[in-house]
Amino acid sequence: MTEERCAKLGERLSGYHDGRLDPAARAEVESHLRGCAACRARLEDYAAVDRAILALGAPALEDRLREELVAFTRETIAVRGRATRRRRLGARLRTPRTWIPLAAAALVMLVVWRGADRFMNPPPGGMSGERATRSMTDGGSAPPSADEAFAKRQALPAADSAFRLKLDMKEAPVGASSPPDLGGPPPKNGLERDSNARAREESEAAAPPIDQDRAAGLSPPAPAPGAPAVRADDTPTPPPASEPTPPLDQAAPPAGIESMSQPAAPAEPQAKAAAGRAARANLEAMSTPPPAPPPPAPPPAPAARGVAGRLDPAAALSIASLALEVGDLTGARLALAGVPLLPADTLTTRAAELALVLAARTGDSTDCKNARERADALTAALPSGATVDSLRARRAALTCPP
Amino acid sequence: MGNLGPAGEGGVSATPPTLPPGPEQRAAEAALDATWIARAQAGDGTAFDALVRTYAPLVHRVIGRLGADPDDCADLVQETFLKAWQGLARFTPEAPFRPWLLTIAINCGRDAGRRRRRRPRTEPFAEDRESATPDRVLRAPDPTPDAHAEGEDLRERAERAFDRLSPDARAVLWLRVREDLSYDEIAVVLGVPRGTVMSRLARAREALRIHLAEDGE
Repeated sequence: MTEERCAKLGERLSGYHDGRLDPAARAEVESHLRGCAACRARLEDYAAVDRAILALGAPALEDRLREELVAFTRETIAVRGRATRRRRLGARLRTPRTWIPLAAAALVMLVVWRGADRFMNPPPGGMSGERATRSMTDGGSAPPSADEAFAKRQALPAADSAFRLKLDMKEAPVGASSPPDLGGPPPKNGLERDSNARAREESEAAAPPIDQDRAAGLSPPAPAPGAPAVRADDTPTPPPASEPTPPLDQAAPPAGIESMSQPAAPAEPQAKAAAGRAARANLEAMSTPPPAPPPPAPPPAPAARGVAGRLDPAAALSIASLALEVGDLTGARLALAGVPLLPADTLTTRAAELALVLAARTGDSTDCKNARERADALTAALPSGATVDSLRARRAALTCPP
Repeated sequence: MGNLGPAGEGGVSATPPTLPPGPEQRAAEAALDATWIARAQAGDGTAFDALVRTYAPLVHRVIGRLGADPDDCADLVQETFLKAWQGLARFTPEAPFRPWLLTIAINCGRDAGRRRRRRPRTEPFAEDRESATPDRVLRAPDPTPDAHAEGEDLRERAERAFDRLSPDARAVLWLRVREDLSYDEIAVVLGVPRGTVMSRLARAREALRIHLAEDGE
């Protein structure tokens, strides 16, 4: 009978041991315990079980490793934060709304460029730009050149161009591709997020930053008519800096381009040249690496001065920790003064650790004295264990001026 | 927890938790956490550093003690905090931080366990008790010289008995006794109902009691 009742008591004895039973259940267990020596013995055993668990060793994280972890986490977060911003830009760039003005600008620029190129290096036989292009696309005898490849690409139907663009983006070396960096759209683009970007970001949140290039390669851009012109690897070598503005008659666009550049063709010569210069300046700006993303905002200097004694200890400790973090040693010292030496708990232990770090950093004799005082108070008050050992070791390691 | 391997085979120093946290201390810690969490949620990386610094030992201890491969341990701690940072926006400031963080840690451990099992068995696993050589096991600094023999004896017996427990039993006992989590917190961390926590604890206590008694004979 007793056995049965003990079995029924079951997990409630364990709950009773933890002090987690409601009053009714507790009363029931207590009444049973009064009459059952076996269960009283078992309850004592549970205390022994707890002592055994408390005696188990625990893997300790060395301070050095901990600091490495903190630093590594910080760096990784910073890098991923940048990657996320770039991905958003990339997603933005793949929308036609952004492509069209970019493509138009690039076309204007190419028109002027090719004109300039012809002006600087007239083709043999004085071929006009149009004829030269046609002969090349027809498989003429002109020697192969960068122009030839260019013209062939221009002659491709738009859909094929889009496909090629996709391929090129895939094949482009990682350093050269980064389409997200090309456009340099206005800052608001970076803040806006289309739903695709958000979904992708969430699904890729854990992926390394390199994924942005893959993502760009895998989702084909809208087949905007001018798309190829914005391609990084299509960009011709910029002409010499001193290149003069080309006269209008020599700046006539080749046929392949002409068909796509209706808005630019009827422009007034001077306006067109100015647009060309501006566009090239744009492209040069685009092809240079994007400005480094702004560094994480500098941590705000903690307003620690003069707060010691008026803050609750937890807040003071928090400020001291942050102050040490940003190297505000005075702030840390003042804030630490707001944490009492005792009672011995994790709060004061952390304060002692911070005080030791502070003293080690300043080498100031008062800081040393304070840190030692804290460490001594705690080592005296705490039961022996890893915390005390660590405090002792750090206190001993602290070298101070006399 | 079932997917985590066995506990790191002891091999660690006698480090009883020196600071049984009282309610006041818990409140102080919670206040401190709330400050840091709020700042970290606002994008302040420095505040998140403080959280990492504070909780790295806890995460490391739980991951290491509840069965992660010692080689993976540091990586898993790292992964835990990166995931915590990513999920921090979804964390409700009223909720206690430790269980939330430990949930992430335990899940990282589980995922790592799965990955490890998928990998061809070219190296000894933590599950292979015999092949776990001492240098593969997490070790704390040597015990202090003044640790007396009696404590050492208790620790060794405790380690042997603890190692015989199932992973679930080890997890629930460690979280309850060593990390002083409440039943509700353990339920959150392990992703099981509170009633399951109670019954697992009762069974685990009973099992460890019997193992200790057998070892003492």
